[in-house]
Amino acid sequence: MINVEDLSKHFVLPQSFTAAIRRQKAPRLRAVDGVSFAVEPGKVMGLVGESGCGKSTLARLLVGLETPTQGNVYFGESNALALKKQDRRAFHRRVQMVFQDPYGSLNPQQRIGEIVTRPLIYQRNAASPQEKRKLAITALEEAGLSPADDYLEKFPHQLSGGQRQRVCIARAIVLEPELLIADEPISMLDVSIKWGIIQLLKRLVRERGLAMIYITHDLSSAGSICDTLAVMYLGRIVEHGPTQEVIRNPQHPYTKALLASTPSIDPEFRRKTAQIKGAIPDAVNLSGGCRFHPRCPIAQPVCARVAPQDATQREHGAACHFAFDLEAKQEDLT
Amino acid sequence: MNTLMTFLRITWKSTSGRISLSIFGACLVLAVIGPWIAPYSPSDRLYDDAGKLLRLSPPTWDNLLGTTVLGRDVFSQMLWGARTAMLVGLLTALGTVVIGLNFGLIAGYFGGRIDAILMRITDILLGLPFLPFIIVLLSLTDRNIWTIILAMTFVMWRSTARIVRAEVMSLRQRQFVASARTTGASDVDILYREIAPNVMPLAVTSITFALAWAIITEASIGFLGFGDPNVFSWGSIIYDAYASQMMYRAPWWVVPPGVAIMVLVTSVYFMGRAYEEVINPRLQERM
Amino acid sequence: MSAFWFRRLWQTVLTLLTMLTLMFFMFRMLPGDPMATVISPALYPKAQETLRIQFGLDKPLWEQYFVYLKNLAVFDFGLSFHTGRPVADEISGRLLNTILLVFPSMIAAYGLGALVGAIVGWRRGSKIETVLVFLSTSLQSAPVFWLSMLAILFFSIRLDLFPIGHIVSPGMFPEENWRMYFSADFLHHLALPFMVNTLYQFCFPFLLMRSSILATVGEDYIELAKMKGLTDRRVLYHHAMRNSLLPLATTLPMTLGWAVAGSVVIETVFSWPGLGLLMVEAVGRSDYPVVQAAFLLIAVLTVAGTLIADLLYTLLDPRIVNE
Repeated sequence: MINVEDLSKHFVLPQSFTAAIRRQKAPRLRAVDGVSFAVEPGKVMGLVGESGCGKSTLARLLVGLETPTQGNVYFGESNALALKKQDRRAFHRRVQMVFQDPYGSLNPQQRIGEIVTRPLIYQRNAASPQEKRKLAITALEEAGLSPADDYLEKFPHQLSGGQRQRVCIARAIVLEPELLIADEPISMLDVSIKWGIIQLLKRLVRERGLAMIYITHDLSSAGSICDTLAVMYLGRIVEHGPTQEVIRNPQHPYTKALLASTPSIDPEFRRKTAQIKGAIPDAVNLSGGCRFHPRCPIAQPVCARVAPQDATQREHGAACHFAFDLEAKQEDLT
Repeated sequence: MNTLMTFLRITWKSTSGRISLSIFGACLVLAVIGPWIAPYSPSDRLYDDAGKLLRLSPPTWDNLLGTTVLGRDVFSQMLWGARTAMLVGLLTALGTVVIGLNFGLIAGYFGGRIDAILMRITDILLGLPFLPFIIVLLSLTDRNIWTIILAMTFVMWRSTARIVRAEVMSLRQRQFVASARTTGASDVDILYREIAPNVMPLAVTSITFALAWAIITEASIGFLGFGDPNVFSWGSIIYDAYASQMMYRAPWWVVPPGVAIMVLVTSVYFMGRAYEEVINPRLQERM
Repeated sequence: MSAFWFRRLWQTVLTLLTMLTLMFFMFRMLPGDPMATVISPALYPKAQETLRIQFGLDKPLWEQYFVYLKNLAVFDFGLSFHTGRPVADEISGRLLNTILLVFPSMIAAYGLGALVGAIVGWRRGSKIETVLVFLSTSLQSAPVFWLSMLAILFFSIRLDLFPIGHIVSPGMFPEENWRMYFSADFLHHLALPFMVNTLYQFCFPFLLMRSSILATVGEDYIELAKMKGLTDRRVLYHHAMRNSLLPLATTLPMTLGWAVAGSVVIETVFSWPGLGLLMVEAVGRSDYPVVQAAFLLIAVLTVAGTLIADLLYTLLDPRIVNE
C-alpha cells in the first residue's frame, strides 16, 4: 500500500522590490495543496484534471523531481520514505515514471541497450555488465520489444513513437519499482498504437503487482484503465472514488463539467449539465472557501466562506458542500 | 575516442572534408617524423664545396627551399617547425576544450551563483586582449613553448565555456534529464553521462577553432620574437627573415612558412566546417 | 533601460579593475626581483631609492597596491626605463594612432563583408561563391604579419606604390602634432596597412553574412516578400539582409577586441607607431613600466570598443535591454 499524506508544493514567486521592503509576504503559487490518497498494489488510480490543475507537479513530487513543501509518501506500514535528499536513490528505485513525450525523454546519443541499463548503473546495482544486459533484455521483452536483440543497438530516432514509449516503460520497470507513474503516456501517440500501450500497462500492473498512477486530462481513457479516479482542481483533489462510481454518479460540479466535455459520454447527460464558465484561475491568490466557487454553476454564499470537506476521506467522496444530497441541501439554502 | 572516430567518419563523407583531413593528416605525419627525415640539422651552418658559407642560396637539390642568411637549411627548419605548430596547436586545443567543456557544463547545469561567478570570469577574460596579454606574460617568464601553451589555454577556454554553457542550459530542460533523475542519477551522472555526450559535437567544433587559433597565435608570437629560442617554429622562421632585413631578396625563406601555416589552418577550418554541416541539420537542410 | 546600463557599466568597471589587479600581481609576483619590473636597474642607487619611496616599494604589498591604483588614476605610470621620461608622455600619441589604424578598417571590413556576403549567399551555388568562400577562409588562415610582408613586397618594393612603413615620412613632421593626421602623406602611409587589415578582417563578417542569408532563404517572410512581387534585389536588401544584419552586429564587439589585440602584429610589420608596436619594443627592452601602461591602454581600448559596440547594438535592437 502506498500512502500519500498531505502533500503540498508551493512555489514562492519573485516579489517586487518595494513589496519586499514593506515586508510583505512573497506571493505563493499553491500548485499542490494538501493532497492525500492511497494506492494499492495491483491497482491503477487515475488522476484527472485540466492542464494547470497541479497534476504534473504532483507527479514530479511523487518521483522526487521536486521537493515537497510539506507532506510525505509512505510505502507499506513501517517503511516510511521521506522525499528528502538522504534516501533519494532508494526512493527513486521504488517509484518510476513514464513521461508524456517519448521523443524527448530518451537521450538521443544513447543506444536503446544503454538507455535501459543506465538506471541500474545509476542505482549502483552490483550486477555484472552481463547480468545488467540480461535484465535490460528481460525488461525490453516484457515491454513488448522482442526479440530485444533487434533493438539493443538502435538509437531512439530509429524507432517509432510507440516503440519509444515501450523503451521508456522498459527503462522504468528494469528497476522493479513498486509504484509506476504514467503521465499522459499515450497522448502523443498515434491512435492505432494507443491501445497497445494501455494493454501493456494494464498487464504490467496485474502481473507485477505494482501500483500505478495514471495521469490524464481525458476522462474516457482513464475509464478504461483505472480502478479508482481522483479528480484534481487547482492543487486539490475534489472528487475521489471507484471509477465506475465517479463516472456514473459524479458528485462534484467540476467532475460533472469535465464529464460533460468528454465526447464519448451520453449526450443526454451532457445536455442536462450546466457548463462551467470562465477559465481556470491561477493558484496564486486564492480566496477562502471552496476553490471552485467562482466558476461553479451551483455556488451558494456558503461556498465562498467555508472550505468543503476532504474528498479522500470516504470510499467515494467529493469536496463539495452539496455532494450526494445535492437537491436536498440546495433547497435548504434557498 | 568514440567522438574522434565519429568526427573522422563524418568529415570523410564530403570532398572538402576528405581533402582537408588528408592535408591535416600529412602535416601530422610530418610533425612526427619530420626531424628524422630532415636532411640537415636546422641550426647547422652549411658551406659549399669551396668552404664558403651558403648565404641565402636559392632552392637547389641539396637545399630544397634554399638557405637563410646564416647558411641554414630552410627545408629542415620547416620540418622542425611542423612539429612545433602541431604540438602547440593540439595541446592548446585539448587544454582549451577540457577546461572550457567542464566550466561550461558546470555553469550551465547548476546555474545560480556558480554560473554567475564563472560567467564573470569569462567576461573578464573576454575583455583581455589576447595576444598582448600573452606577450606580457612571456616577457615576465621563461620563453618556452610550455609557457606559450599554458598562456594560450588560460585565455582561450573562455569561448568554449560560453558556447557549451548555452547549450547545456537548454539541454538540462530536456525530458531525458528528468528521466535520468527519476531513475536515481546523481548530478555527476547526469552531467557526464547524459548531458556531456550531447555537447560533444559542439566541443569538437570548438576544438577545430582553438586549433586554428593556437597555430596562428603561436606563429604570431614567434614572429614578434617572443617564441622559444630553442625551438624552430614557422613564425620564428619568418621572424628571422624579417629581422635579417633580407626577406625581400629571399622569397624562398619567407614564403614557405607562411604558406605552410595557411594551408594547415585552412585545412583545420574546412575540417571543422565539413563536420558542422553534417551535425547542424539546419545548415545542412539549406545547402 | 537604466538597470541594463548600470549592470553593463558595472561589468566593464569590474573587468578593468580585475585586469589592473592582475597586472599588479603579475609584475610583482613573478620570479625575479620585483623591484626590477618597477624601477630601472640602470639608475643610480640614490635615484632608485627615491623612486622606491615614491612608488611605496618599501611598504607592504597591499599598500603598494593602493599607491598603484592612485598613480593610475592620475595617469602616472612611472618613468620609462629606456628614455627616462614619464611613460604617460611616451604613450600619449600612440593611442590615437592605433585607433586610426584599427577602427576605420573594421568599419570597412564589416560594410564590405556584409554586402558581399549577402550577394554571394543570395546567389548560392554559384562558382563565385565557392571561390570566394575558399579564398576568404585561406586569407583568414594566413598569419596577418605574413600577408603584410607579401603586400609590402609586392606593392611597396616591386610596384613602389606605397611607403614601406611608418606613419609619415621621416622629417615631415618633426613635432608629431595633430597637423600630420590631415596630410596626404599620412593617408599614403595608412593606405597599405588599412587595406591589409580590411582584407583580413573582411573574412569573418563575409562568411557570417553568407550563412545567415543562406538560412533566410525559404523563411516565410522571404517567401511572402517574393509573392508580393517585389524585385529580387529589393527582397534581398530590404528583407533578407535587414534581418541578417542584427546577428552580424552582435559579433562586432568580439571581433573589434580581436582586431585591437591583433594590431600588435600589423603595427610591428608596418612600423606603425601605435600602442602595439610600443609594447613589443618595450618588451624587447625590458622597459616594464611602458609594457604595463601599453597593455592597460590596449585593454581599455578593447573594453571601451566592446562597450560602444554594445551601445550601438542596443540602439539598433532595443529588445536586448529588456532581456
